[in-house]
Amino acid sequence: MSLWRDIKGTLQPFWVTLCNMMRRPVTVQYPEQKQQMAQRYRGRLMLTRDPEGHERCVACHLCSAACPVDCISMQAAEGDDGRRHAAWFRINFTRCIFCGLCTEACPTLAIQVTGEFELAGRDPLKLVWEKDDLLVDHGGHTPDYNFYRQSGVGVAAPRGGLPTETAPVDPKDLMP
Amino acid sequence: MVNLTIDGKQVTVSKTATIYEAACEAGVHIPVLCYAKKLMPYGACRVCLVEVEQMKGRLIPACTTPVTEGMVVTSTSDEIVKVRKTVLEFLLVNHVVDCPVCDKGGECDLQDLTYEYEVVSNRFEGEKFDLPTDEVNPLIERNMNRCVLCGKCARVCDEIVGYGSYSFINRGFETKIATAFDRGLNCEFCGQCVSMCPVGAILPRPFKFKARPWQLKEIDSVCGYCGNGCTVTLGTKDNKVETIRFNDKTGVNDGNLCVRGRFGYSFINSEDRLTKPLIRENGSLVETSWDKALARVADGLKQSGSETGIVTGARLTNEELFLLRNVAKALGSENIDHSGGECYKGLTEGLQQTLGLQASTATFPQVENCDAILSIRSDFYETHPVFGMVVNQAVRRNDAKLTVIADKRGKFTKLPEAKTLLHKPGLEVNLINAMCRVLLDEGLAKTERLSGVDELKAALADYAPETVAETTGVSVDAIRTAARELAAAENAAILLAYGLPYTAASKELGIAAANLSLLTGIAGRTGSGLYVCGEKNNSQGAIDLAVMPGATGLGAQQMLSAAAQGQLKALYVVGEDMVSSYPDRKAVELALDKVPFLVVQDLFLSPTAQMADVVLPAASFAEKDGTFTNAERRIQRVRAAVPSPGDARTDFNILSDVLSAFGAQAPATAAEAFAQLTADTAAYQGISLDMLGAQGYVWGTDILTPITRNLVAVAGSKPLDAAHQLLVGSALYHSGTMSTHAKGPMAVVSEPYIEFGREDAKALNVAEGDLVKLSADGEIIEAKAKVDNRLPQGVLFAPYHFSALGLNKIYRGQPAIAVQVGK
Ligand code: SF4
Ligand code: SF4
Ligand code: SF4
Ligand code: SF4
Ligand code: SF4
Ligand code: FES
Repeated sequence: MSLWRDIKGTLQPFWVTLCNMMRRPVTVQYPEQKQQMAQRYRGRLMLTRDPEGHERCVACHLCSAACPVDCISMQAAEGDDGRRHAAWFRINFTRCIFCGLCTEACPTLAIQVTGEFELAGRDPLKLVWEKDDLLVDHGGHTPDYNFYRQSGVGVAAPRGGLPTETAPVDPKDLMP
Repeated sequence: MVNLTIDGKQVTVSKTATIYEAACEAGVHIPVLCYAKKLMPYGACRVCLVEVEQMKGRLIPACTTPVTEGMVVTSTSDEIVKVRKTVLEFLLVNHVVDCPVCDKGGECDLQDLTYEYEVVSNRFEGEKFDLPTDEVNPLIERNMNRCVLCGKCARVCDEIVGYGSYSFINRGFETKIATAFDRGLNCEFCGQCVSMCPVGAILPRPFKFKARPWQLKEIDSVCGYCGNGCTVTLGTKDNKVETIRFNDKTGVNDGNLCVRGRFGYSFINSEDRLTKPLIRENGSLVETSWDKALARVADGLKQSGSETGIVTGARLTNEELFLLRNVAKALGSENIDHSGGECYKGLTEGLQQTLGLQASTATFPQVENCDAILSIRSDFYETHPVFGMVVNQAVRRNDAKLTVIADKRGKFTKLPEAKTLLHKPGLEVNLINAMCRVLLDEGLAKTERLSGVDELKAALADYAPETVAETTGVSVDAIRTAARELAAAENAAILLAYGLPYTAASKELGIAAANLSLLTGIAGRTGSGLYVCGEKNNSQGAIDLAVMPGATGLGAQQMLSAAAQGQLKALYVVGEDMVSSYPDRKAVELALDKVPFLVVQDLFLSPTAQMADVVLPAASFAEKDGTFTNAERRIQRVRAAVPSPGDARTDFNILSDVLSAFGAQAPATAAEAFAQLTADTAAYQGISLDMLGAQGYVWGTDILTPITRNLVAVAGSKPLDAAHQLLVGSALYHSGTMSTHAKGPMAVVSEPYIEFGREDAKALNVAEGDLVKLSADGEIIEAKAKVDNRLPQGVLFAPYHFSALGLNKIYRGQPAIAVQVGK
């Protein structure tokens, strides 16, 4: 019984090796070659912009509240146009565990994951990214969404002026 | 008491309780939106609907329904949940739901309820509002798109504050909360509506976008402005006081604050704070180290020894005042005093002579149940606004009869049915004397147990109501009615505030008020009280701890004159800006100039500090531990919330160092100092820090019984014969000179002004905002004019808080100043 097992144990690895020798390789020659990451891969975070090119983030603090390792911090401020935005926004990627909970919390779809994962470096402080480092010039996975067209009254468009709304009626019109 | 069952739990509550209150008692959670403990039941939102077995088939609001015997209440059932959910759906029909950009997010009642009841979609559809936000004023932002029409703001402003800014306008979907003529909010900015709004419709502007509620650390402390002693809960983030949080669980103020307490915190973070000790070298103040500064102070004070004068402000903690007294002892000096020495004589000498006390005889909350209230000077609301709100509640809720003896109108005089005895300036004592006379003449006085009745009777010969009516300009009937009402009331209160702008005849006023309180029986009677209230946050503590000149010592004014004559070798001024706020600026300046060694310990480089030889940077109330005693004798704990800026140190630490420099023993901690001071102060005997609970501890119990009952005759004054008379006083938005460093109060009243009545303004051709000059005794002061209808003809008013005005160049302690008006 144990002899049979020993023979099988000796031959099987050769068989496995033989099979895989015939297959196309799954590994790539990183870093010379780079892989295309899957659509929903959770890599480094970015801050996206709305279709009008404005920063999406309204500094609501929800991502930082959701973050299990407390790596997101920011300060909210009011812009000249009344928009709430982040005066500064910081992610400490040495702490980030790429769980993506922040992106789930984000009501404006501002914070999104990228496929990027190359975050190694010699200086940990270089992994503390500021808003400028995080901001991109596109809308990420959701190019069409614009928070200020759904909510945040009066800042982007008056009530009733939004695509999905009908114009407000003046009830006094109806008076005889 | 009534017995009822809520969700199977038996409760017994008073028969005036509502189902909601009974449920709270039973520990059953019923959601509410429009209910507030301190407001009358209203029933606007319907989220508190419950089922009562005896009223089968109908859901009733728990917050407005009184309990009845044997009630069986169900707080949750499938039907109730469904109905509550529907109510929330209705509320969300036109709610903007812009939580990400709404500062209320995280502590919003609507958010919480929506989450609790899992309202994820809405069956109803409707138009959303696009109302412009009201950002007209610098302190309060209103965004009516977020309003849920609970009416709390309108109710608190009316029921408690008595200002009445808001009411509902329009009908149906269009209903909204608006100010008069739907203009921007312009009120006294107490911020009660901000604290009451369950959603983000009314928000504090200075805190806009500063932080989320969960990021704030909350520290309960006591307001550092006036003697009301309101609890302020400091919301701090990153070691900075960012806002004042709502807290109606702690303290005497029920969550109410005034503009200073709620919006005046920013002096703590002011850029102008002193951060390093300064020392005078070759004529100018230069930064130095603590070691050098303290060595210089110790040297200087050692040399002057018993010829040192110590003047302190009444903003220090009890512990610090105790140390300061020890410093005086270590120096062998009896010259120690606070706040002008004159302003609190009403309490220290007036009440001492008559009642044998140096404090108010009752506590603030009692006033709400008074039937008659006499306020001497309408300024009581300006000096102690939150206590003023209690008066307002007494008048509005309990129909108390309010009489105001005043030389100008004010908030009190506008309360419903308030009677104002509007008199010529400086004649308060005359009026009170006349009231005493009425009581004695009509046999209303309760003279048993009183001594000095006959003497008083004799002395009041000249104060027949008719005579007084003629001199003061008040009608005879009004005086009589006021006296009768006060005597007839079962519970009554007499209010008098004192402070630096009210130094004139303060002792006489104290005595007169005490006489009246004795004749009416108010002093020491349960439910009634005589309230003589200090202006500053720890005025009462300073008096309790006897921060007053010893038997042979000099008072503040005497120290100044001694200094001017070169008889004082050193002056140690702690937390007081004498140049700006003491009567007679010239004399103060001369004294400070003459005194060979001047040490000033303060938060800011005040005009007084600028004259000093050594300036020591001190800490604000938010940076220290200790206790304050408020104007009703309540000892409350002050807690450090943030570190001091730069090298600034608490007065406690500075004074400890000074004491050690003299080789004297200083208590190591504030707690140790408290133990020592209670052992050392008769009234505080036996009080320990643990006894200062959420409501603090009122020494001498709620009702302080007079030790003596002496009536003392005091003479009134004669009216000033001048066409234009200037009154000096406090403005509601400020307290002392400290609030002029705070952005909130400065945003409302940013500069000194001279107030004119409409008639005078017209006659003198003065318009709002005109620059006017007042001259008196060869001195001229200049400020912008403010015109309104508070002042009788011939009377002008100026607040004393602003150093730049130089009001004390012409104010030398007179009740009213004869001035010439020019442009
Ligand atoms: S959750 Fe989104 S909108 Fe809010 S702070 Fe984070 S990134 Fe900005
Ligand atoms: S009031 Fe409450 S529900 Fe409304 S937007 Fe603000 S946080 Fe959201
Ligand atoms: S701040 Fe005070 S006075 Fe002004 S509207 Fe609000 S509650 Fe009324
Ligand atoms: S503004 Fe706020 S407090 Fe006033 S009714 Fe609306 S929701 Fe209630
Ligand atoms: S200033 Fe006086 S009334 Fe106002 S909040 Fe402070 S203690 Fe209360
Ligand atoms: S809380 Fe009872 S109706 Fe609003």
